[in-house]
Amino acid sequence: VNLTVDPDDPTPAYEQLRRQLVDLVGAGALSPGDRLPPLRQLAGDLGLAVGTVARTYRELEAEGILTSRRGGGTRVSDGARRLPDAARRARLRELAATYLAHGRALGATDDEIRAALET
Amino acid sequence: MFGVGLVEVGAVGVLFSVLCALVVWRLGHALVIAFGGSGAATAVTREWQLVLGVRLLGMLVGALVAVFTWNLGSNGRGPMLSLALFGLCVLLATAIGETVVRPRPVPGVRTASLTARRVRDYLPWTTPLVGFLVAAAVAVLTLTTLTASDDDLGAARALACRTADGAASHSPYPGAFYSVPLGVTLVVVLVFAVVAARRVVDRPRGMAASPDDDDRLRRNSLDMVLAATGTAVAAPLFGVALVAGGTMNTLRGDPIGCAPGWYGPVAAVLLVLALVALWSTALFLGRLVLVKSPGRA
Repeated sequence: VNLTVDPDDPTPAYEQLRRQLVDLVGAGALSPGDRLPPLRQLAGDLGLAVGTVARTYRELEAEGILTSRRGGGTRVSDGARRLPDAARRARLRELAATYLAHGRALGATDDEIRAALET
Repeated sequence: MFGVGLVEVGAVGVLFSVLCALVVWRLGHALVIAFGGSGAATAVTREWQLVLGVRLLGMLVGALVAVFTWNLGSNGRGPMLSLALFGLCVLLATAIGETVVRPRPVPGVRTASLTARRVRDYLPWTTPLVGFLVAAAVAVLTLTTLTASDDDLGAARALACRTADGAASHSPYPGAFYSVPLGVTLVVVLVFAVVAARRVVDRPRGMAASPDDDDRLRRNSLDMVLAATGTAVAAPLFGVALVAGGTMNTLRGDPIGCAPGWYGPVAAVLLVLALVALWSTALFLGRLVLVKSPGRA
């Protein structure tokens, strides 16, 4: 499972990471108890400041999705559950709407937008 | 070692000369890479070649430190610590190289794995041997420290016994006079080995073209960390075990006959251990200098 950061995206890097982690937990790609990499490893690999990744982890801890223990690293918390199918479909529609909006802003036709999805 | 036997001094001298020759030979290859020569066995970045350069510099400095240390200290303490300090220099250089040299940031979208990297996932096959040598060193140094007596100069470097018929004492013996500085050095070596291993695993990706190649570089670095640690532990253990075993045997043969019965089997174990340590020293020095690093000529 990978995380990505797009430096050209106006969304702050910590928020890009937060959303991806929420989606990964919601989709079941990350299960309760799964261990996440240490802050330094993730920050180094993504070319970010440690504080940026720390903020992501902190916010997800506040939301109850992650839990940190001294010496035990950061893990997906037991309370974090996979999203129900209806919520997952709603999230997918939300992402599709964002993609559609970006595509249209680029001046792409519906056929081009559909073709880009298939490639 | 300890300046007593021509054979052991000769053996260590030969080992050391071979080491110096190999370091000089390897440095030649590093210069070829540094001046743009080919030699990249895998797709590595120039930053990785810089890491290798720092490591080679550490080996060169370590060889110089070892030569100077050989002539320092009294009653053979210099030769005892010589290769341990060489290993320490290599560990320091590895930790510095992997910490200071950073991969160049890639343009565009950056990706990172969510799998936590652990040191144990990258350890080489030599790890159990290093563990055995460390345990053996602790056991031997504890034994020799507890059984040593003061010699006529008041230093704990003799093995003595006493009966109603008289007393016998033989020196040198690796008592506290040797075991304390060696023990402190080995603790420092182990601390730096852990630090270097952590630095290798924690450094960011991007030293090679693909994550798999990057993992190969990490495995190679940890192989070098273990080889440096193994050299630092095995070389002095060879000297300590050889001298301790030899002195126990000598005391057993003393006409006074006051040596405890267990000296015989323990001396035999120590002499076998000395052979294992000598073989390990050669193995680890060989790995340190001869194993091809990815990107090395």
